[in-house]
Amino acid sequence: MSVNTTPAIRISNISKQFGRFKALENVSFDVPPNSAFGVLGPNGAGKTTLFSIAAGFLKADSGSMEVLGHPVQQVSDLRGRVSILPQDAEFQRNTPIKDQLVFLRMLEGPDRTTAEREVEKSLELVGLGEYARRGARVLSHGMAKRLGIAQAFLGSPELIILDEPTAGLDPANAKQIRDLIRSLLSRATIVVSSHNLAEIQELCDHVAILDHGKVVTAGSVAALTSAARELDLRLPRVLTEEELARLRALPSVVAVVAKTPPDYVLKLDLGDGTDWDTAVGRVLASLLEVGVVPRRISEGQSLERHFLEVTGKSTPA
Amino acid sequence: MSARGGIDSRQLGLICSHSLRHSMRSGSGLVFVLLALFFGLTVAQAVISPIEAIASFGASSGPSTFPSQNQGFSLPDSPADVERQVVQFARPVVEWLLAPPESDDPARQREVEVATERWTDFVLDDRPALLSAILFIMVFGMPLLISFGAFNQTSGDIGSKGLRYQLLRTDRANIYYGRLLATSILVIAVQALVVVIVALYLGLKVQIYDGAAIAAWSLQGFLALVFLSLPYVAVCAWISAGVDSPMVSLVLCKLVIAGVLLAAVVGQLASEHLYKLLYLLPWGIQNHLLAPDVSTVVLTAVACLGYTAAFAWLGARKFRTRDL
Repeated sequence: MSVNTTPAIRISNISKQFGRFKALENVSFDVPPNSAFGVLGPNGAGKTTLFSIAAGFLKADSGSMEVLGHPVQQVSDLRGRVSILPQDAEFQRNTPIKDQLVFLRMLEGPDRTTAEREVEKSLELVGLGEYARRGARVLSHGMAKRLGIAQAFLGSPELIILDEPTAGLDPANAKQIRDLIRSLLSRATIVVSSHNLAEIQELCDHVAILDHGKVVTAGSVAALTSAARELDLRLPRVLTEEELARLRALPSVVAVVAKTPPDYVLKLDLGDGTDWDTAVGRVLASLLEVGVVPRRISEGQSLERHFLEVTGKSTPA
Repeated sequence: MSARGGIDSRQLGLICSHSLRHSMRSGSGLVFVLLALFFGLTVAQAVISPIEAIASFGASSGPSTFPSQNQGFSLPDSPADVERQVVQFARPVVEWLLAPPESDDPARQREVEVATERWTDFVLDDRPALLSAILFIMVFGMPLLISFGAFNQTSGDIGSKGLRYQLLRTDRANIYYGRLLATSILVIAVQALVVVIVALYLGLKVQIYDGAAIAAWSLQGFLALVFLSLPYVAVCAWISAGVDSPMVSLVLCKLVIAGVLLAAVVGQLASEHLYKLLYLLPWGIQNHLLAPDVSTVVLTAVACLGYTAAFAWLGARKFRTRDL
């Protein structure tokens, strides 16, 4: 069986301007097939514009884009193979949500019976089964978002584009959506934008960071963060200066930041080729030598650090 | 939008039926249905009731009532007699309404006068006159009413971005033409309902005319309304595809449809050539859908389809190329 190497999305020098505002300027990157791809950027960076062009909502002023090997101008020919959760798109207020999803699913080909069965399953999946006969006007913001996700998950799309899928959701709902996305990772390429850097780092294996309509960096999360990773530690007690100095002296450790002792963040530089496990092992060994057994240890937000470095500003709002 | 611009009949049907249901559920379709019924039945009432009232008064008062005031004029006591007298009274007005602008060429003017006279005889004598009156008023009024049912074919869903859920699943052409088809079906169904109610009332209650004559003239009147409506539905679809707000779309539809008529009528006072503004929309030709010659009716219907095709194409072009 041949392995598909055609990028799920190939973006080449895409530019888009609204009046005098340059939303996108010569944006280029590839979304690898079967990847979980995160698009990061501050407000107004151009993430939604880029997704809208990929889905055929907006026309690019220049450049080209291919979606699953098809020119973006023909993206509607891919019916059923690509789906999207658009940002701020509303469902019809008075038409039952089940009818709306059945209609959308039937546009992709299945007959009514099949479409109804899939829609019922999808609505149950996002916890909206009991609202199937109600119009979208009765849904809260979070429920409407979940309905949008239900329509994006209909059928078996090869590429799912999710524009801020967890924005406006409470933590429980956001986690539910992240779990849903994670469950799809094995069978579809997922492209997701989010303001939540931890979420992107948790879900995605590749990212592109946009700022002012330009790509400032793109690549695999591992490659982008390899030179700047963080280790969050919760220790049983506050470390002495001598113990802190021992940690700082370790190879790969560039700084030890006492957040709220005994919580510490170790900033690691793995640019010399040291792998993550080795570096973490050294830290643990050093702590155990002085009789300190960490209560909690986790990978820190190194993507956030990278984001701050490349955009030169605060984290996305 | 597919580069092939292909229409998929299955998707077209799905979009059409979904759009029809949505327009009724959202209330905009229902409002149009009620307005059209109210308009049609009010027109029928305004035309028929006076006839019935006079006949009823004549029958109850008898020939000796008000003899001094009625010298040379016997108050009719049957609807048919009333209708005959009203038709005679209204004939010059109808001739004036049907007459095209006067020609400078005397020979041509004479031809026009003969044709107008023939047309007047046709609608008042050869066909049920009351039904003719109702149909002509509807032919004039329907274009002004249609925008209530056709203004929101796409603008609302463009504004709410609701179309985005459909764009990856179908070609833009299917969305546009599916909704245009749904609106046309709604408008045609409502007109059929109005015409059937009026015809039944005339046939069963007033009983002036032969049933077959009413049925035949009603059918032609209905077809006239259908052909006349399509260009206005299409022009509304074009406007709706260009704006993001249903309210702006409604105002623009009203301004364009009524504005063309108003500009031509008022402009004619300044320059007779401005009368030609009527031909920007079917205003200038639509009465000919009730003409006595089959060839004129057919040509007018074809012209209406031409207007429809042109406006629909312009709207589809706008919808295909715009950001959604």
